Amino acid sequence: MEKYEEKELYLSAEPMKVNLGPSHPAMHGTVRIVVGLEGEVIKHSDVQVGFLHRGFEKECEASTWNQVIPYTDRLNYASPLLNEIGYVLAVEKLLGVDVTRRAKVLRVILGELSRIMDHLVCNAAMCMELGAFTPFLYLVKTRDYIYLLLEKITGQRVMHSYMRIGGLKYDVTEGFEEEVRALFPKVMQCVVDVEALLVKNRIFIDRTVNVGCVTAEQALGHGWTGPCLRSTGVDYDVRKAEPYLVYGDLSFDVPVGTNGDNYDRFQCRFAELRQSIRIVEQALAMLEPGPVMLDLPDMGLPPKDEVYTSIEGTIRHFMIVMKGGVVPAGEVYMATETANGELGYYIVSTGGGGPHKCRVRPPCFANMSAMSQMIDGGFLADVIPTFGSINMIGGECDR
Amino acid sequence: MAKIKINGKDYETDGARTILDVTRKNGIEVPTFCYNPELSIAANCRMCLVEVKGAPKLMPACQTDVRDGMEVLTASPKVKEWQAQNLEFILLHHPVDCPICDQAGECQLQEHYQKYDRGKTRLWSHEDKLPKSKRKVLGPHVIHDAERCILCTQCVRFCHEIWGEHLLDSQYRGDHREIIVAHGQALDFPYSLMVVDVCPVGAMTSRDFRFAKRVWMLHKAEGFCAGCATGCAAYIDSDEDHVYRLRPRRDDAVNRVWLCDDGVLSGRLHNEDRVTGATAAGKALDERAALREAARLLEGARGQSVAVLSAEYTTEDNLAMARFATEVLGATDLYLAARPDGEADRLLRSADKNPNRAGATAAAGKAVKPVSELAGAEAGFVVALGGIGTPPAGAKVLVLSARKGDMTAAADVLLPAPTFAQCAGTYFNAKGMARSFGPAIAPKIHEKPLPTSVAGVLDGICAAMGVAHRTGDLAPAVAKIAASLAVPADDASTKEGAKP
Repeated sequence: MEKYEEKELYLSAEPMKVNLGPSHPAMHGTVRIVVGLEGEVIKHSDVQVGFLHRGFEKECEASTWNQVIPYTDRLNYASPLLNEIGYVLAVEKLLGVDVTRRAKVLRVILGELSRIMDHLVCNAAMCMELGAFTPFLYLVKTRDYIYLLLEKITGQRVMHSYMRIGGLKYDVTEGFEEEVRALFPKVMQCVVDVEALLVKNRIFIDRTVNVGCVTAEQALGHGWTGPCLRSTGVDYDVRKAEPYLVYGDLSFDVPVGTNGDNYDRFQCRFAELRQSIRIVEQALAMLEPGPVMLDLPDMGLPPKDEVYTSIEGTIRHFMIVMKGGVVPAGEVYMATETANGELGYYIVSTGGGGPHKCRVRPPCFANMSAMSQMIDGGFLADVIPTFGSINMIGGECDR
Repeated sequence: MAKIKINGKDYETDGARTILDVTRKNGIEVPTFCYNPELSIAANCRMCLVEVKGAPKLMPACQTDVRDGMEVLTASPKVKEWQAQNLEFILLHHPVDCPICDQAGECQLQEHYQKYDRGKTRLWSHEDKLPKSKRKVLGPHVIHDAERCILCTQCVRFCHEIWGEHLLDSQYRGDHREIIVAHGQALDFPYSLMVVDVCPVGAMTSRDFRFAKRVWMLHKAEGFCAGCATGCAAYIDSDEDHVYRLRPRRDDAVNRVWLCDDGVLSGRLHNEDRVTGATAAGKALDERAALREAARLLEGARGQSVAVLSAEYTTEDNLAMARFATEVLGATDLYLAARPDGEADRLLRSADKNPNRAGATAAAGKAVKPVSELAGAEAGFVVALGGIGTPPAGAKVLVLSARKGDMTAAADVLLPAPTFAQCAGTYFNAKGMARSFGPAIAPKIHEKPLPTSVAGVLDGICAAMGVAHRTGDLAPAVAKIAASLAVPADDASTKEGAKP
């Protein structure tokens, strides 16, 4: 065996530049972080996003109103329905229409299920970065129960494309309520198991408490929203601040943290997940039979039996597909609370068949802006868990 | 001058005769099917009915004369209700054809339905729809789908009023009514495709365009027909380097809103017999190599060459060729190639089947000989624009052409030139009117850039020959030709318009 001089094995105390990403297994999502190291301590860092830029906003300008919906799935792809809901609500606000009660309640239920999925997978990833692989498997397996249900309802496992301007693509499948209720014990069992493994675990606490700390003031300064902001103690939630759909009629709490560190963000997500279950249970009780789609002759595609058998249906289908529907000229900003925070759509219509401009305010772009500050002075090994706790989703951040 | 009130706002009639004239002039929306400003008023589609104060029933805007103090409502609840009902009635027996209909995408029925009706059918079953003839051959270019027809009779009126023969008629009544070829006639006349053009729905279909392309995929460019010396304004509809059709474009001084069958089908000039690449001695070459071959071919050509201009090509192309021939090659004679004369008629078609005889002749700057005399000429070198003509035996021949012909077959070096749909430039029609246009088909991004002008190719040859000559700016020369050919203003107006 080759012999090394003892000296050669010391890490250099000279600043060392290390590239993390953009394509590296640990950097889930294509992000590049250039860190200047002194030993294992990060002296300065340069966080670079944008590697997953697809021109979403520009693409929308070349699409019809309905064609944008599948694109929105690809924003935060961990909870696609929440992005869809934000978009269709924005267009409906521009149209000045109010969807049916059933559609609203179903949107709330499906949106909250998506939020649960998102929180499950975010926390799963974060504990995996800390070496806790078992919770990761538990949580991701649980997420798949929800995927299975959403696949059954929407026809697509991940990219659902289920919301429509004016309602839903079609009604939920029979036995939906029982299937949703049957999910909760599974989800809660998993959350309880994972918490038992982690929240009082010495290693987990050492690695997360007081790591990646952000004060409320800093968080607000960076434009943080969502669970990341709430972990710092600010109880801002769009569902409470500006209730949309039927959130005004539902009772739920907004869990907040105290320290704004990785541990608080982890805990906030699980607490929110419990609130989501509470919301879904109430919403299920509200669910009454009724139509899920408004009759919007200029926007909603007619039922297929009309398209195939009547000229009126064929023409309407043709005109909406080819010309893209009619939305009055104007501009609108609509914010909804997605899993990562305030997702805003700023849409301008000039009366054409598609958005003239569709600007997205992605919550995790603002959240990522504090990344450098959060990791500076910390250990290199904490970069990835901190990054995981932000839940930066490339599709949404880079658009 | 009468004043009328439409939707509560005052309008001067300004010489307009009917309510529809006033609304159209002022941009007020009144839907129509059977109305065509070039044809007589039929008022049979009932789509333009409006409310006139004092009248007990709704009145057809296209037929109701304006009168001072008239008060008209074009979008009252009563009118809107009528429009929806009328469309339901028109659509009652309309087949579910949009997916296979050529008109879908530019169909007035679709547009009006989406805007003014949007209701659902009340027919019990689509099998209750009345079947009619789906493919009745009316003539060499037109196939009629009677089920789609809304019986606006624009086609009947076009034949009768514009062409002057009663070629089409209708038979039966009510639901059963349909368009037929008049007794003892056939829809076989030089403007039969205008029947397709006036049809607001997909009932009249062009045999050439039928099922060829969905209209929303077409790139629609403004240009001119290059089929004859009339120089009709047209839209050139193309996709992927294929011209699918030409459509008439309004030009009151020349073609009003009509175009002959040859014109509609003149995409052939681009699609067929194309010179697609450079060749030397029959072998395909890339463009740079071909330019070098051309330069080598022309060694020693100075003073021993003649050039052929072409009435098929733009004035700019001809100017470039004439300059190249005289200044670089010292050409002794200039010949003019042209397509042979064809049929003419009282409406649009000229006997001269070349778009730019006037411009090409003027571009020569001196007397030109007909290309038929070229075969007997004594010249060692021939430089030709276009594929028409036969060079003298033994001469070395350089040809720039978009289309194949006797000349390209005899070429030692052949270089592609832009077709009428690819080039930009100016034609001067039989009346000396300038027809300037841009390329209707842009070269594709990933393709090798096409020659966008003859001047560009000739400059490339000069560079390969090591000659300092460049074509330079052609605009002043074209302007000079335009001034010399200009017709007095009153002559250029509609004196010889489309109406016989």
